[in-house]
Amino acid sequence: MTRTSRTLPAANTRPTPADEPVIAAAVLAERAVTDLYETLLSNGALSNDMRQVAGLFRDHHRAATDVLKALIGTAAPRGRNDFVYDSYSAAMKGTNMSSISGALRGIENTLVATHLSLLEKLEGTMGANKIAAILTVEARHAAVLATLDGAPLDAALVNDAAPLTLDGATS
Amino acid sequence: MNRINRRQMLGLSGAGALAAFLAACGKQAGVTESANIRALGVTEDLPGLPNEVIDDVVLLRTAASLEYTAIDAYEAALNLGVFTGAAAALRSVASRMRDDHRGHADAVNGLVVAAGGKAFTCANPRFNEVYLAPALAAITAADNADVAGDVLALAHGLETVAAQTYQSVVGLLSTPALRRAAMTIGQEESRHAAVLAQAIKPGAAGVGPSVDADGRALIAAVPSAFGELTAVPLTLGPVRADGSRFQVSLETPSLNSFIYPNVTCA
Repeated sequence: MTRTSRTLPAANTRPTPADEPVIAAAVLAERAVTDLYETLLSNGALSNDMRQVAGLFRDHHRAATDVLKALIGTAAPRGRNDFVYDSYSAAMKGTNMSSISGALRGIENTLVATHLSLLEKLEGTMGANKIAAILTVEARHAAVLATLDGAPLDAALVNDAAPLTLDGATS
Repeated sequence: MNRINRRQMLGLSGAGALAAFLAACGKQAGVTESANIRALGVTEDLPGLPNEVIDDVVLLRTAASLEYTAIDAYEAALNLGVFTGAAAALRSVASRMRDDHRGHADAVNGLVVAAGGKAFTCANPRFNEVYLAPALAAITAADNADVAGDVLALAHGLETVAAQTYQSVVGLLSTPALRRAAMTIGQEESRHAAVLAQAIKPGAAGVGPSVDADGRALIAAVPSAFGELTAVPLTLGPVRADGSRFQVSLETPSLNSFIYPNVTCA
């Protein structure tokens, strides 16, 4: 093997002012999904297995919200993305586990698509690294929900959800 | 008559010795210079190491090499003939994932070429040497009682490392567009890993982190709240005479396994 010296690219860069609304949009989306899982967990019809999984995934979204908030400090918004919450809250109160699972998969896939689109807007690499670490787990969420529901392999592996825009709706 | 006292004599002999020493260090008449004969006080410049800049092309070529490593691993698994009986359904899963990696390899190499580099169309030699070849040797050992289970564990490990690789380069790639492109593929590797984890430990019990009776971490579909970049431990192959099994920790490519511009397919 040829011995060489190596020059690595620059280290982490903090979020720029232009990054703040981008990360804020991610905070609002993550908080909306945390609230959707909370709504689901108060659903008495939930199976024990689904309750266990939903509790875990809610914790992950809550952790993602906290990490993203910490990135932008006082610029972090309060509240949630109401478009996301309102779009799925009725489904969280249903009794058909397969329908609930399908809705959750849609939520997770929407978040993955959204985070991917936000990655292309972020200038600072600290924010990009955090978003990448979050979306890779949410992709796992979506795949697990499809697998637990016995859905075809494509449902676990393919994401055709549209991303949310910075103002909260889907693009 | 000049008289030289003892002190002068000592001074003269010291000067004479110094002159003789310096003469010995210098060039001598009639002696051919040779690089093989070193003269005191004269050293040659040490050759410097060539500097390899780790840029977008290197990072993306490395990612492409891991895609080919995964393709090779799935090909090897499919050729083992272990996906039969209860594991028959996994054959189509393995084929699908191999095909996905082919698509990923083409996509990443497209980015490499767009960034001004040369596509890399074979497996990562260092990764294969250190991880894949020993792992496959352990799996195919004659007395291995669970070849299918070990194949799944290896595939899960490779998918996890592939996802980690894309995540790990996000902060190193130079443009937001490349970061998005990398994670578009990376999240698909994560989905592969989750599906394989569910094949290994199905149901809700296999989703979150858990441990076996000895406290060892079991494979989980979603082991943490954030994508981890830690090594992926694998235990494979038959139980040896001392009660141990082959162990390896898969790690994302680094300085010794990056695919620099001078690395070519053998």
